[in-house]
Amino acid sequence: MSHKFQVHLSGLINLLSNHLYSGPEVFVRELLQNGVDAIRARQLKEPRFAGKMTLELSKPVKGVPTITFMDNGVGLTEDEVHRFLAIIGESSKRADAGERPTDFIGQFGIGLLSCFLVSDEIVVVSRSMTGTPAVEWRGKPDGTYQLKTLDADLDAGTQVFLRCKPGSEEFFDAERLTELARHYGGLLPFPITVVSNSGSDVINTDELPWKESSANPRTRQKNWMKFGQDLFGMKFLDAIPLMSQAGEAEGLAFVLPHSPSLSAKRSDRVYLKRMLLSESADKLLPDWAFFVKAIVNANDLRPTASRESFYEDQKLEQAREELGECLRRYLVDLSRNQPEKFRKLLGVHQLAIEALAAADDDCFRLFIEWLPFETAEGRMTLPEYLARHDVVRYIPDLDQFRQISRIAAAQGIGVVNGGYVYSTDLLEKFAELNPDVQVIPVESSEVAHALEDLTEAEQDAAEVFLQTAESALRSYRCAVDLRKFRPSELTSLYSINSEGRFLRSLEQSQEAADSMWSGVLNNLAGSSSASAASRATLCFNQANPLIQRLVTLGKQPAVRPAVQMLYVQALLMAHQPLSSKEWKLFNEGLLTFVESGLST
Amino acid sequence: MNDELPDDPRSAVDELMEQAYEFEHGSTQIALIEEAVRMADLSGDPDLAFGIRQELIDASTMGGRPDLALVAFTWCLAQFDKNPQDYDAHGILWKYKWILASLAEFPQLTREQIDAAANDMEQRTVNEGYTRHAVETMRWKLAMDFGDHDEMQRIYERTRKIRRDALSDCKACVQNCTVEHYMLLGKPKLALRSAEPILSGRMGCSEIPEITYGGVLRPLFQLDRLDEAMTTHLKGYRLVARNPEFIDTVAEHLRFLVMTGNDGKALQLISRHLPAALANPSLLKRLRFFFATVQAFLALEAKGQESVKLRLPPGSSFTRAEGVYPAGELRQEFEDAARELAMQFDERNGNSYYQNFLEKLRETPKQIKPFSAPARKRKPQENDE
Repeated sequence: MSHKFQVHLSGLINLLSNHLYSGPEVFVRELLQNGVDAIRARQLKEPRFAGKMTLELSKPVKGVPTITFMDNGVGLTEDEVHRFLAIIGESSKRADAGERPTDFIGQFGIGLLSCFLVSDEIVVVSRSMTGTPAVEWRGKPDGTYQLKTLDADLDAGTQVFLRCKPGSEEFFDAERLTELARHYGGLLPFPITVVSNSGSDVINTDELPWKESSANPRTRQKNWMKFGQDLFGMKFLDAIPLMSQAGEAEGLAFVLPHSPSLSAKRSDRVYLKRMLLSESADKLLPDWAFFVKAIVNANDLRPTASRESFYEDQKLEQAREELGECLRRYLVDLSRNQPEKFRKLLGVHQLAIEALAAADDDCFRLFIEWLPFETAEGRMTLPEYLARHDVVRYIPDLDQFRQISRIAAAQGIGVVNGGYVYSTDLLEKFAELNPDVQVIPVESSEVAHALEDLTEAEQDAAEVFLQTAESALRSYRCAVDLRKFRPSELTSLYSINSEGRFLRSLEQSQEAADSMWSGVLNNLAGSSSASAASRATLCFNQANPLIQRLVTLGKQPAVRPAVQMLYVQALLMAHQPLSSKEWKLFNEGLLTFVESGLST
Repeated sequence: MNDELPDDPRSAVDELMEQAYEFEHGSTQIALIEEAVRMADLSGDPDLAFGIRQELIDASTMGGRPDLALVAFTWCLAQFDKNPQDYDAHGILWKYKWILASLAEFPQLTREQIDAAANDMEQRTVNEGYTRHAVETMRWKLAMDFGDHDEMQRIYERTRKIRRDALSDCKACVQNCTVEHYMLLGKPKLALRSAEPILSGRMGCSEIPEITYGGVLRPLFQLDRLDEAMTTHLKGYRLVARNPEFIDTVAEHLRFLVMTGNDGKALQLISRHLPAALANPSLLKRLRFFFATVQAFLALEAKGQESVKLRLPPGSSFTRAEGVYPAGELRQEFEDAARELAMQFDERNGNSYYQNFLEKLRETPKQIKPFSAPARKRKPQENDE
């Protein structure tokens, strides 16, 4: 003979709710969901039927608080109660076909049983609209239940009675219950009344906020803005209506008043058939749309197992595209028709607009002339930059741009910082779409090469000095150069490319590492260290009086330590930590100068 | 974003880190933290230098720079060994896992060096009272990258018997390894069965299911479940497209597009991701991307397409000014580049796994099963949406 497992339901429900749901408060959602499903089922048979739901809280002075939930939906016959309430996960209304077994529990919801999270007994009294006798179902967390028919002549519909179990008092509170009902059911098209000692309140209206009927677009906009502020507690910059055929989605997107962090997850408030699904959905809008926070209802998207997010399928993909298109159109309109407003939005949401421009050629063409780039001479748009310079030179590396930007600015050399997230993408796209403009990625040392060259006579005069300097820095793998640049107080300019920087930090680790790791680092550096000299350059400034004197000294003994000291100084100015070898150099150089100072 | 940093190194570190947290994983974030490390060094405070390097290890591991992570880690490990009482052993061992698992991606390193690092981590793990679950899982990953199927199976069998503990990789990561394990062994059904808890959403972490979506494309394709594969491709690609760390997962998506005859999309992916592949310090990930690229051109060649219009990154050895390439030549160039890397890896690994892999790609045109994504109303943007 076959036996059955003993399943302790409440344990199972607890487990499920911890894994699938956010907390016990979902029982309110499940009650409302059952009610909504029952009402919609009834409306299939009586199309004009007016559905309604009530949550009644009773708190006797002595005794246990209770919640009674009532709907006037289709109701259940005795047979249906056996079938639907007795089998975990099964429900008369949500049984859409074609689900994969892994989604079983989620698709159907643990439904009513989630009430065991707050109550040790669930009593359901229901009368089917078919007119069969009313039934009473009493379920216990151990999985047993009793069922009896009642004589009473009840209206069609279902009532659920819950008794507060110890520890769940917070949910048997008028304020909390109203808040939860509004939270989950605020957009439901059937009135929900919360009844308690302090009176009775209908907590929702039939109207969807984005279906604002006002004919005056300004009033409409104002109402939307107010709605957004009430909903999210934030004063937004603008409200944008959203609509998608795919998934039958509609809603509003609010432009955030601050620029969100790129690493933050987006969180929209989404509803499925007007029941709250999630307030932190991150899949419904495209990635670049991080400048808005949206509220959206979809009638035809599929929920995930937890019923707290949408299932990622092609319909969702298409809805995302259509909703994104609404935002895109908004930005395009704004840039064309309301340039001042667009500029303001750009001030706050430059990154989002850059992301969109980088992803979409049409938007790129429209937005690019608005977008400011960081250049050596300050922030400016590409047209502004091109009014000054013929060639767009950009440094794709943040650190190298910083090394060179001040010097470049002083010489009037145009350089754009390509080190921020979208800058390089945008510049490359600009090059692709504007073949007549030269756009070249450069390294900081190449910018140094653009500094003024010496005359031939000066070059000859400096030859010995440069040889001395080169040999003084050879073991530090730093090349030397001599040019003229402003400001003349500056003795030299140190530039290092990303490979050179990498090798410096590698050597720094190698100094500290044990022999095993030191060997690993050695191999990692590999052949690249052979040509390392070209990766760092110390460019002396012929316009600087001290350098002019050193040049005349050629290879006299003081030149070598002076060059080495200048090298260390340049490293520190470039925020490069010194290796132990360089520290030693610094100390020795210092001593040499102190001694020579004492001996004169 | 401010060009000028405060003079005081500590304030500069704070400011740079604050900026860095604003960015998603990738080169901008890494550049800011690198600079913060230099400022921390200048501050002369070893604890600050240690702490910021820990951040750099995180950012560069998650942002596609395992070489930087390795360099920062060795410094931290040395600092830890000098003053073990000052730092958290669990924290350093946790990162040791990432570093160890990444070592096989550098063909410059010898097998002996990698084995020695694994033994070193094992010793430290045991000394700190952890089970060998974590270190064996890393050895398992290494064996996969070595192309050593026997070793993979041996490690898999013995690791299953070890108790998980606080040092173990999260369950989703281990599960994803199992998917890869069976995929590499050519057992698509087992791979998909292993992927089920991830695909159904029951398991996940910061990088899962992103990686798994790419990993199941091959088994789904092998089992002719093309519709599911296409859905998985559509939802998976956008999750990995922006981060160079996932370039090998992007390669799986590229391969899938080639194998289903979506040549136009495949070329778009090549244009978009080749810069990240060429700049990628992980030569193994670069090789995997090259493999998929070779397949794309093989498929075009087999169709008799003589020239390919393609945008390649300025300055790469493959790039030509006119932007139009003879398909055969392009295939040959990528094949040569792939062979050179494959030989480096095989020599280090002591087998011919990657060269054999490259040879087998020749069969690509025969294996293609045309399948396209359902048409959509608006012309799709190829990028982020």
